[in-house]
Amino acid sequence: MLRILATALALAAATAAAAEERVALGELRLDRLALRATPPGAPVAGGFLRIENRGAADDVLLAAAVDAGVAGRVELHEMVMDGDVMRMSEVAGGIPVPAGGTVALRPGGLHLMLMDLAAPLAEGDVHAVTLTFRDAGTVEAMVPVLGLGDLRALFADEDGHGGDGGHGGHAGHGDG
Amino acid sequence: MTRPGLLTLLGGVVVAALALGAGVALRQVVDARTPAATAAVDLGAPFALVDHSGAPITEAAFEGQPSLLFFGFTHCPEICPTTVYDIETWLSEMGPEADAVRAFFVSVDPERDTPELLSDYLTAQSDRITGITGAPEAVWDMARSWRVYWQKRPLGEGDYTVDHYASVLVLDDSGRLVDVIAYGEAPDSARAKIAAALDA
Repeated sequence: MLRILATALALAAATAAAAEERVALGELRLDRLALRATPPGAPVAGGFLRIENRGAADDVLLAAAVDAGVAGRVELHEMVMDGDVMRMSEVAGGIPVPAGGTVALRPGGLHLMLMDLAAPLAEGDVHAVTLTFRDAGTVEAMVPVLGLGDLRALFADEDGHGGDGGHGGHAGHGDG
Repeated sequence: MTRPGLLTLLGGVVVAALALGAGVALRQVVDARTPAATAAVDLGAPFALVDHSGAPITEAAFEGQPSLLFFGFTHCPEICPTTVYDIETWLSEMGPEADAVRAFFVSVDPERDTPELLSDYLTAQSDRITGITGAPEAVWDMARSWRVYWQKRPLGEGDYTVDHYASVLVLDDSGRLVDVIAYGEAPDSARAKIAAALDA
């Protein structure tokens, strides 16, 4: 039990560092920016962030991009668990960010999909990710690469699944 | 009955010739067991494929020890590396008793997943998970025999992803299905199911 507690504390510390990455773009506030570390041979990687829209007008995340030395292209994807089946699809028309709302791109749901990785993403590395919104425009964010444990901790309050705490319910889902 | 479940049932016969199994039907097989029943579920068929080192592998690999069986692919950003991580974590947290358990990652994307790619992918994450791939039709036949669902889906620029059954099958030491661990299931529940297979 002590070991589990120590692990949890270590994760919390690592996550706190990642969670401090915050970006402002007009009325948008971006945080929880992270890329998932990949094993060798994996040609794709997930990217995650939370977008808060403090403005009075809806916006849309239209596109994301990284340097060609990191990945060939970035798509906006959504993963859905349909019973026991994982379904993945590209999000057509971008990801809406409603006025006054917050959208989480997080493990198990909406995410950035980095395709054709040039090399594995290594934990601790930081890559520039360019995000383009319909109205707010374009911003470049420096995004850290996290291992799965840190990534789960980062979004632990967003969903009941995953996480080493073993909470299995979905009642706490707060994003709209 | 969910709509996809119904579709799977209705489509089950028609699509047998396509790259499409029946994950929901598998769940029904498992759920249909009465708690008192000790008989495991007989699924799977003989196969001749290759492991991630390129060596031949057959259904005999599932005999002599409990096994965990997962169907995935390396171009999978989320479920597959997460499940590899979870399997490694469950087994390492269970300690030496779990060293007897073997874990298998069967590619549902054998057209891209060569033994070399599976080897790079798996050995970096765990030293106890055996990758299985081979001639695509033979791999798909094997997956069908376990009644798992998968379906290729096109992405941009000629690329594709694969929707797939995401649970981990727990097999007894005769290679018969005794339980299923769902994606995102609590670790203590997963470990209990593995322990039960070890004790059987």
